Amino acid sequence: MKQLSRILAPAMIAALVVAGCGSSATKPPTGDKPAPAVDPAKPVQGGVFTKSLNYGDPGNLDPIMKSDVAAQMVTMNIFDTLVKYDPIKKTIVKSVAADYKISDDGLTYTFTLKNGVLFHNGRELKAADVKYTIERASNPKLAPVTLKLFDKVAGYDEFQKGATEISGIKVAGDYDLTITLKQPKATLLMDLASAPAGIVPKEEAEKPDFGQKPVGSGPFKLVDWKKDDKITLAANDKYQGGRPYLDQVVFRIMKEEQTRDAEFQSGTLDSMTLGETQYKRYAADPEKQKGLVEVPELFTRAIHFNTTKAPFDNVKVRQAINYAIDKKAIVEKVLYNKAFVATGVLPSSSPAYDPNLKGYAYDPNKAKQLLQEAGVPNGFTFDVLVTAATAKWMEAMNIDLNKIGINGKINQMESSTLLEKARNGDYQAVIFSTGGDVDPISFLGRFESRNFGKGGNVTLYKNDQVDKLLAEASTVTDPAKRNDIARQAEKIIVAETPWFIFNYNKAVAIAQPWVHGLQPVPTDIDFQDLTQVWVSNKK
Amino acid sequence: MLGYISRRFLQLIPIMLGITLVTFLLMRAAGGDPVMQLIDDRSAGMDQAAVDAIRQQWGLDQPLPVQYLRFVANAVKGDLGRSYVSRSSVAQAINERVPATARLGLTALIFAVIVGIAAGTIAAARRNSWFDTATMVVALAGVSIPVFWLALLMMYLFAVKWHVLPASGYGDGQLKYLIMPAFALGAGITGVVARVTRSAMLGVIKAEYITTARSKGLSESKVIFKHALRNALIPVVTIIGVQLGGVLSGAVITESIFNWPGIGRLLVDSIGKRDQPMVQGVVIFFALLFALVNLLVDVAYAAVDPRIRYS
Repeated sequence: MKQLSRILAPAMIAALVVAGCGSSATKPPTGDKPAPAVDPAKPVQGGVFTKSLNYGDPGNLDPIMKSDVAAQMVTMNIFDTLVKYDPIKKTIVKSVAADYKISDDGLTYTFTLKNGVLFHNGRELKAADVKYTIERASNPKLAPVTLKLFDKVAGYDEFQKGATEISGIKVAGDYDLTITLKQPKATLLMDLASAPAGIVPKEEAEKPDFGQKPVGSGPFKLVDWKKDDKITLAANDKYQGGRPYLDQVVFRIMKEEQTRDAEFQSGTLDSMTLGETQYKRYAADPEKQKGLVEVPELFTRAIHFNTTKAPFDNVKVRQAINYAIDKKAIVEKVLYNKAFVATGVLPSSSPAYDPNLKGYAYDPNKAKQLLQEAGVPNGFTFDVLVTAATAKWMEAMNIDLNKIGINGKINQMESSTLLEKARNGDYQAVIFSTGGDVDPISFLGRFESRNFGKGGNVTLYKNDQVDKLLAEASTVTDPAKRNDIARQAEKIIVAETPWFIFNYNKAVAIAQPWVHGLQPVPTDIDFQDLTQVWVSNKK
Repeated sequence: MLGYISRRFLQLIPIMLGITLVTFLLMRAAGGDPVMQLIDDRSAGMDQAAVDAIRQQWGLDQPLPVQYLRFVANAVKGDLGRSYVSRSSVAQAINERVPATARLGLTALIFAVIVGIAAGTIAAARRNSWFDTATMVVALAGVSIPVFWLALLMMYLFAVKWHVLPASGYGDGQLKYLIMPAFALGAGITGVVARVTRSAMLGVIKAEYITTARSKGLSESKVIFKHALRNALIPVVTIIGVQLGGVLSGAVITESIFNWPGIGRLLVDSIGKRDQPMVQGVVIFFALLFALVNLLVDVAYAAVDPRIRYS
């Protein structure tokens, strides 16, 4: 589902933070549970860290070709970016860039690169490589996932029409680079920090099998890729940020939960992310629970209503559903507490999370009254698209809905088909999880009418005030102001509720006692900074 | 015989054409516009000109019959197109995974044939003995137990509890990684082969030529293995041929559970990702394999039974 939601957020794909860089007016409850990271022991150099890759073989490791979790988990370690997002400090930090400056009008970004940064093939990374990377990521002939990532850079439009370069990117010497924008873009640094913006060497990227044999300048280099089995990375001894502690990282490609469980229990897997039933089991084990790392992930699960189709074109019907379902009971009994009850659209780890927003309490009487007012006093039956994973959620919700005469008719399908139907508005209601954006304005872009359908607004929800607020925010660079605007828009959205706002995912990873340094990363718990992970003597 | 084999090969041509056509059309009908599959999440930001350019680049601007003929022409040369996900060659992806599936499937099959025929033969020779009863109970269990259940049970016992075998994966090709998946995949086939061998043997053992063989003073083992078994093998060969299909479909489940990097898993993953060219390529590969196996089984009939002549 997470892959699905990432795909559903194309317009905001790598649009992230900035908002997280500043202080937030309200401090969200984090619920983070960093595990063996607090170990007092001194980091040990060496060792192999084996981690499960739950989503299947990424197929292609060219950073601009895939943006799903599986690919990013790997590419973020092979490639380096100008700047990085530190999910724990919630701020942008320098990476390949030794320094950067932003002009007062927010239009010019000047970067000075570190000297001596080496690609894995031994050549030095220079400013021209960054320019090439951005142009390659914007090249329509390659059909990259990053096509719109740099669309605010001056000269982008001309480049799309066939110009040989993006005129807004200027290289001065080997280490200086200036990016000029047509209009301020608050998330540019986050875009540059995202895995798909990984810097590539031209001589390697133009080889036809670059996606199979990627070469970057990141902390690890690819040494072996056995398709559908494992991907092995080895430490880059010359990494500009210092050699990682680990000698090797092995991503075991394992889609089956039971198989991951068996490997973890037999000690051959060092860490994995958990599903609900696994979480229930490991959390109840006094020994195993010590290895849990938990975080409210930036994903919100919801029933998305098609607001252009009856009966969900009526706000009272949508509100009635919100009042009719006991979210807490479902979180406890169906999700085994591996989730947090939602009160708004933005999850509690979002910098714009509003603790004062109370959402909808469980109140079946109020739900009945709203149905009466909506002219459907006896309820109705609606079609709801689900996947095998989310069918049980709907079954549980139906118990409450049936009490007021509503029934969600379950229509189960593959996530890719569900996605297509959702994008095309070919549905009445659909369940999925969506998010991943640290920047609240990007997150709320799913409610902007300019993003109808494929842009991420699958509910086809339109509210002029929300559109106006979010459009205003697109040029605001001050994080605190962006958070404020997001909260105002969120209030309207929650009141009009194009989603049944259900719960926020609690992402949970588990590690063996000998693993240290895993962090509660809210963007995705699989996006670990592996330069900070180390392993002590195993058994 | 050679003429027969050549004719069968010629028959493969229309069969494969039919299969490619059906697969091609089904994939198009199920998957929607291939360009949208290809660019997927990128489509939101693309203008029509860029979409058209990609359509042209991948040859998807041509009418369907032209696309099909092109596909067939390329397939004959071994080129099954490029994956929408990895953007690399489908044939290469299949090639990379054939050794793993072949290793798993052949091991399971060889195990099933040796153990199944031996157990079935001995059970028939010692009809109603404790060995016969025990063999048939185990064979019935082998046929009845679902692959995934057996796989998980073995994983729990041998990997989690006793730590004697790795739970899953391919390792660097070591034998220890092969044992559990091959056994899980082969168990059902072994049961079927044992049961069929036993019943075929029981029919043959009563025949007059067996009595003649015994009255000539041949040893019991010579009677059973040389005279009886050879004649009982025809239905066994048929069932082994049929079970090969079971190996291919069983491989899909076994490979997924044991994390075995074979073609079955590639197929499942590609369906999930709606990678049309990959699904198409793997289905066609399976179909060809199946057709060839059937041919092999027919040829094997003649080898085990001199009464069968192909002219």
